[in-house]
Amino acid sequence: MDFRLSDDQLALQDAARRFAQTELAELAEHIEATSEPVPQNWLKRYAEMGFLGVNTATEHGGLGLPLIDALLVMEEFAKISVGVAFPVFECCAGPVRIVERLGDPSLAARIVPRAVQGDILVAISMSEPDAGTALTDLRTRARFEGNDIVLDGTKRWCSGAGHSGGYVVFCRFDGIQGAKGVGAVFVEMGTPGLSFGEQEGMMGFHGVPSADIFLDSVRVPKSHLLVGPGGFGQLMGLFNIERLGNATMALGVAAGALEQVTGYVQERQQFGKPIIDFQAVQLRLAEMAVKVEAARLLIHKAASNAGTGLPDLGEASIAKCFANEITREVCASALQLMGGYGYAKEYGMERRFRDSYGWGIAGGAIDIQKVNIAGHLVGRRFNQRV
Amino acid sequence: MKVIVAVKRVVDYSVRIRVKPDGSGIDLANTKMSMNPFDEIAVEAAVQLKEAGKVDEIVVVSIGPTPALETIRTALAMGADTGLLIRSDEAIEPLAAAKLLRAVALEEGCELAILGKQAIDDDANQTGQMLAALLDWPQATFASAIAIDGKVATVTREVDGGLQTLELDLPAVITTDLRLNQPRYATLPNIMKARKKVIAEKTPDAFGVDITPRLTVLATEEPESRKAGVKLGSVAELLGKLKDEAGIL
Repeated sequence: MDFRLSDDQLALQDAARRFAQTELAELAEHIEATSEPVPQNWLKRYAEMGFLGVNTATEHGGLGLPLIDALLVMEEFAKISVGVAFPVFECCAGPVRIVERLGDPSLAARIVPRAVQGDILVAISMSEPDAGTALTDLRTRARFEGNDIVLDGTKRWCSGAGHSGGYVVFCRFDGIQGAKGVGAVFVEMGTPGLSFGEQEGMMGFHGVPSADIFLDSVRVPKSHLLVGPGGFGQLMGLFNIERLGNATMALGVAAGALEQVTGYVQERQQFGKPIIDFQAVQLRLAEMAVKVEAARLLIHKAASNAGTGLPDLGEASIAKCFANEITREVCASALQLMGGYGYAKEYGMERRFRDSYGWGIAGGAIDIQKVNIAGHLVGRRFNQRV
Repeated sequence: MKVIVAVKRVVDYSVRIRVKPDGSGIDLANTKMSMNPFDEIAVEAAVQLKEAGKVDEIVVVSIGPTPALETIRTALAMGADTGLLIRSDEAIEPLAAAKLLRAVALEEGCELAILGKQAIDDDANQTGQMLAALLDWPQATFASAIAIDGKVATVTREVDGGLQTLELDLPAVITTDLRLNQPRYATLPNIMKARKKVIAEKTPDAFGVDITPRLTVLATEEPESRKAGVKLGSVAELLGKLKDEAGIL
């Protein structure tokens, strides 16, 4: 077993790191202050550099590399901030993968290359007012009408809502109850009947728009069907890519905090010496490093076993669960080590701390990952309804 | 027109240099290495000339150990056409480097050589000048602007008194200063393409160049650490200090 990255992967990682560290700090501050998402001209820059198509198939204009290569790039962006990294997450690990792999070839050929070129963002919309962790309670209705699909319902917490050009909307077909009735449809911005609620104000994740989506007799062609009834398992299988993307964003936030605080404790002097010379600081720093490294290995294992295919549910859940928990712990420790400078907005650590919290809520809460893990361990699926 | 660009693998500019405890040199174990920043500017200058249709082919040469292949790959990913590594694990002094570059420039039929004005490891600032002398080509060092028109290069140089503009007949040697350009980032697609290119490898012997060091390093020491400064409350206080303590006034 060889845990070293290949020379190609090191080159990609280095390119992403250089770009992110040199170019994105100012953008991250702007996004944090305004809560505006990454602007169009920057999306084009990301695209020109190839960051939005790392693991997209070559026929769709991507590099066709394995998922792990995309995650290496994503971590470097997330070290700077969630706001600057979010488009990379959406394009490499998020809904673009669903459109690419499950969409009608004509739809994929039209949408995916535009995502790689930074001309369109695609959002995923799963939750509803009464369907969160219990996703299969979702009620947004989809019905076939001639050559169209008609959607009605309300979606909640859609990251990217109002700013994305396309939406992967989870919905229930023809009134079929339970998981069997759940599928997904692609809806483009500007489709009549599609509207958005007020932007939510979030604790962190500035620059990641979030809002309700209202679907009022939204009519799309049948070719926009991503998964029909009975295909929920397929959707969730693909969602393991998103889980690893989520885990990598959490990892990046933690790794960025660790890098920042490692510099700080060597510069900050108290009692006439740098505070890294105190054993309490050494132990804390070591504990943070152990957590970050362990999270990275869990993610890399799951992604590397997946190759260009789908990650395993158990491995992806373990990686997500662990990364979601340690990112909060690592950012909290880093904030504490920086004292007043950690608590002050100016130095960025309080932003990392707030950002760290979201990942264990988004894309399947920490506790439900644990239920997945336990189920995987004993070879059962635990029915939460009975 | 073919242009030769030399790139050196050096300690990354952001790394804090550590002197070996026995003073025999710099500790390079586990140290991040990168392309010399002035050489990146040289590569960018060559690529811009190629984009402007003034140059047909860019040959990138590095002299150093096997990992210098990565430095060459970076240049290829930025837009250079072919790479050559002259492999040596010995320290290469400027005169040896200039002799080797001369041999390559003549062999490849290059009409222009663009080099970084100096490498940030030894800061020698000699190779470009020596190369020009050995080739008997005109030289323009510390370039802050380059224009090529036919067989004439017009180069603006940053000198102590301001800016100096030189006109050189090609073939010529140009060395780059910091403000010549802002090197581009290699894009991921270009990085992947560059990784598939074959880089030629040779040894100094193949060019019949003797690289035996002419210099002996006697000692390597940390610079003396700076004493802490003091904050003063007023100009009067400053004048007092300059008069009484520094003895300047």
